[in-house]
Amino acid sequence: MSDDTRRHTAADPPEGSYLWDRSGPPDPLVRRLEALLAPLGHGAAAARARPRRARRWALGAGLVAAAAVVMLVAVLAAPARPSGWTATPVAGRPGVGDGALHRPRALAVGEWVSTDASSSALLERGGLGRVTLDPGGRLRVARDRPGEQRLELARGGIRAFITAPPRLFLVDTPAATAVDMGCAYALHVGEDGAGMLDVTSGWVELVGKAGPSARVPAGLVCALTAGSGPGTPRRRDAGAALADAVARFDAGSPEAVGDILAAATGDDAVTLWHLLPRTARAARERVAARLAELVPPEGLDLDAALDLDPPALEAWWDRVQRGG
Amino acid sequence: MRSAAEPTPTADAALHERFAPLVHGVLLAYVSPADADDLAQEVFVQAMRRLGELRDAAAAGPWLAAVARNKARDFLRAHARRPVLRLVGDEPAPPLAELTAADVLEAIRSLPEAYRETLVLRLVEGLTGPQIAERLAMTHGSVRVNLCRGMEMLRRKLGIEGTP
Repeated sequence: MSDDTRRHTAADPPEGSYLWDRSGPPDPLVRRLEALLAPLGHGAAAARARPRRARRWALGAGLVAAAAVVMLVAVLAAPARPSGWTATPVAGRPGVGDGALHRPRALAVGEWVSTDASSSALLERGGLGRVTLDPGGRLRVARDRPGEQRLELARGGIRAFITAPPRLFLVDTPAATAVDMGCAYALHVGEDGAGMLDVTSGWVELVGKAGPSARVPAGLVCALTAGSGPGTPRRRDAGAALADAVARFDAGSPEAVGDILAAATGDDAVTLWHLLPRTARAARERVAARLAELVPPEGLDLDAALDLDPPALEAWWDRVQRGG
Repeated sequence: MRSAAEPTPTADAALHERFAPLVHGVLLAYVSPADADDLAQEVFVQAMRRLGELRDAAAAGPWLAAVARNKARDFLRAHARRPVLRLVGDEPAPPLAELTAADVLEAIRSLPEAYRETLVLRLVEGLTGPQIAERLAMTHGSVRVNLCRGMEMLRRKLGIEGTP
């Protein structure tokens, strides 16, 4: 393999590379593409359309201001009523309540939608998004009110695509509640209440009925265990050694921490951060040391983080999210 | 000197200024530049109506991106259009020096969604990797992977793999 090809097929652009943050020597191809494509971008579009855009924006701003006043009055007086969920058969013949779902229909709160091995259903709510119930599932609307849209997934898998503001949409499972933070994700629950969350866009907060919660950004997965709550998030494409070590740790083998630390790379800071409240002091110090190599805690109170002081942990989480 | 037609700075305008490249870039990953311009306005008008429900300011970016994706898909469905996935994959790409912006955008749109959006945000809208990560609430690692693998695939689509 030639040096050029090796450069073009490197696993990741190193920090400081032009593609990543325009630092380092400019990549000629990236520069050429930037020059070609920049006229299509927002900045160029805004400049071209400024007179029309300004009139529309001024009009839009006026409407928005009026709408905001109406909304404020409505919120102070009484919350607006939601529009409700509808269920639509996608494949086969899903069940709803005591009958079959033949065509789109409104769902009542508490009414179960169930799918067998050959059926699936789509639940939609205007202004919130849509949820697909895969074969072998059982799902119902648990709460439908302003500020809280809550589903209950008893078993099976769903794929959610949510456009509502964060923390409005929640899904209860036997092991944990998935709190949407503006995202798309897949969530599966087995007959034993155990499951797996796979976030494809945005992030999801998993709040356990027991144990610490988990914050799962896009590109990561997290197991759920009935009675134990959320597991430890890890990259979807993590190597077998790390995935196996995380699974063993989540299953109750604290000695697996050593294997996690050995297998963790620079992209596993989220996993390591989640280990801090899940480990005893001695192991936690090892975790913190490894995490500090990936995301240096300069200016943070490391001792407080080791004591699981919430502000200290949050400050480190901010660094982890920003990549150090 | 500010003209009477220009908007007065407000929280809404600040939100628009911060996230307009993100929204426009996500839309551009699916629809034409002209349609992206128009749909971006609709996304913000729609988003502003629900702004008061946003409890976590840090999640505004992913939320706006999701609204933009939904808007793009609804638009494509309503206009019975599919994202064009053919040209660059089916016939040899023009030489690098003859590539047009339309050629490159077509090639980017033929990539998987995660790579497509990240590349548009980086190469068209000019956001850096850290900015993309911050606005989409993604880890730096995920964005790095999308950028690098997306560029790899784009080079192959444009027929320039291994070319210095």
